[in-house]
Amino acid sequence: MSRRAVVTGLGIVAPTGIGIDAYWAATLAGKTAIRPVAHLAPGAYPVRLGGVVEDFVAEDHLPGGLVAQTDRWTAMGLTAAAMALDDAGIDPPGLGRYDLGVVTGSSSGGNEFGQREIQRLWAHGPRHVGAYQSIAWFYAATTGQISIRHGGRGPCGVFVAEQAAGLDALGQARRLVRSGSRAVLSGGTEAPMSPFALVCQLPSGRLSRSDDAERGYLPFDVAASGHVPGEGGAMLMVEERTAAHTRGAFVYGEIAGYASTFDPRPGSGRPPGLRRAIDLALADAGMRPGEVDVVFADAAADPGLDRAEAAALAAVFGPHGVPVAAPKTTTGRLYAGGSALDVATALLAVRDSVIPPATGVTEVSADCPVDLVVGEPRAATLRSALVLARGFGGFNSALLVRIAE
Amino acid sequence: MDELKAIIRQAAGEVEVRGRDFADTAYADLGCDSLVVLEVSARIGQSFGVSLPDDELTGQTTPAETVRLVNRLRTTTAQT
Repeated sequence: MSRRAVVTGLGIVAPTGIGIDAYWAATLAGKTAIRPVAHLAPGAYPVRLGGVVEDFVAEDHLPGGLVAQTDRWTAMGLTAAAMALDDAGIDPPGLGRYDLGVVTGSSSGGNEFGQREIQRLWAHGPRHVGAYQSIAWFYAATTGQISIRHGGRGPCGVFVAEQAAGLDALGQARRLVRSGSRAVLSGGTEAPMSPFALVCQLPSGRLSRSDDAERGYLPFDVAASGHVPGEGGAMLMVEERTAAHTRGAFVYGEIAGYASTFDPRPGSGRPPGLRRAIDLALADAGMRPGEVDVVFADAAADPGLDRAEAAALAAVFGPHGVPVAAPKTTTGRLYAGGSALDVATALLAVRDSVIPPATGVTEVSADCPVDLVVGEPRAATLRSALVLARGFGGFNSALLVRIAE
Repeated sequence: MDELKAIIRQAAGEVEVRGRDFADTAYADLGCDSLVVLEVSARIGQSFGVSLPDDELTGQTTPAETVRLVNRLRTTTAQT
């Protein structure tokens, strides 16, 4: 009998809510958390809007020692991981010594922590740089801290592929479960809203410079002009299906298929890799396009990227051929955290038979033939969902979830 | 000693002293790993204006030994 990967727990730290219930209620209500970022001085940066998790205070969730040693992104990851374990009803000491793995995605690393320490270096000298800088900044820090805290001695890793990394992490979690792992905590978080982290994002040219919080991030809209950045993400408890059923766990759904592709070099004349990622994920899951009930779009809100995504969807599903969700309009793009959060959101949508709305969009562009769910949630029988993510630099990933048999 | 305790708290959060005397318990037994000891060493250097050699504090050092060490270094520094 084949081993399958199912999701049995969700942990969410998002600008619109901490925890499943708060986040999902706000998401269905179409409440946006995008607003001018308080700690960015007006006029000092070309970007004004962001999705900040204003209620997240690391000390509320973690012991002081861990707070001192970690970046905000890791504190969010640790918090979401603990929530996912709790939601799944898993107590790691009850597992075998090597049963629990940890795989996360990250694109900003510990930039906020790093900025603070670099400022100490410049202002006061090298002796004033804290020892924890050595373990706080780097991409694998969140995976490592989660692994240490919960005794995850199974396979561990980190993916760095901008927005695509959350799907890549979950794809790897599935691969590990299929090849013998009992359980993998997987997903991603980001905290890229410090001035240094924000400046690192500017060269992409993809950030919205709007100061209108209601209309700052408008994927597929005629007025699309870039995305709003945000922080937070989600961690998911991925388990082997039979083990989950044996212990009587609630199963949100199965990770049924996954694929990633890389774009050809600019100017090559070859098409972008998103459609190929969708086709390969469908083939991996053994599903036909008609079996996909909703697509959680990458939703870049860049006119060219929106057209490319709409064209890929039209090629696979037909024009307006499948409902498209973009609830990330309420949080901003959370990069590796965003694609992981999209998977968590897709599983909640499947659980409750409802597609959460995009906000702000008023006129879908004529050259984007997508059935975007806007304004109000849409009731729908959902047995599966496709989640897409494109990471700056050419990364494309597609992940399919479906109701577990 | 109280100042040292505050520094350790800042660096490591609450330390565990299960039924033992804080001052005479080695850092490793207080739950401080080598990186925490390094951070404590750096913070002591800043707070007391002394330069602790990198290998002076280890997991086997106790807070009481640390206080004696810092006091000795401060005396030496003051005399030179």
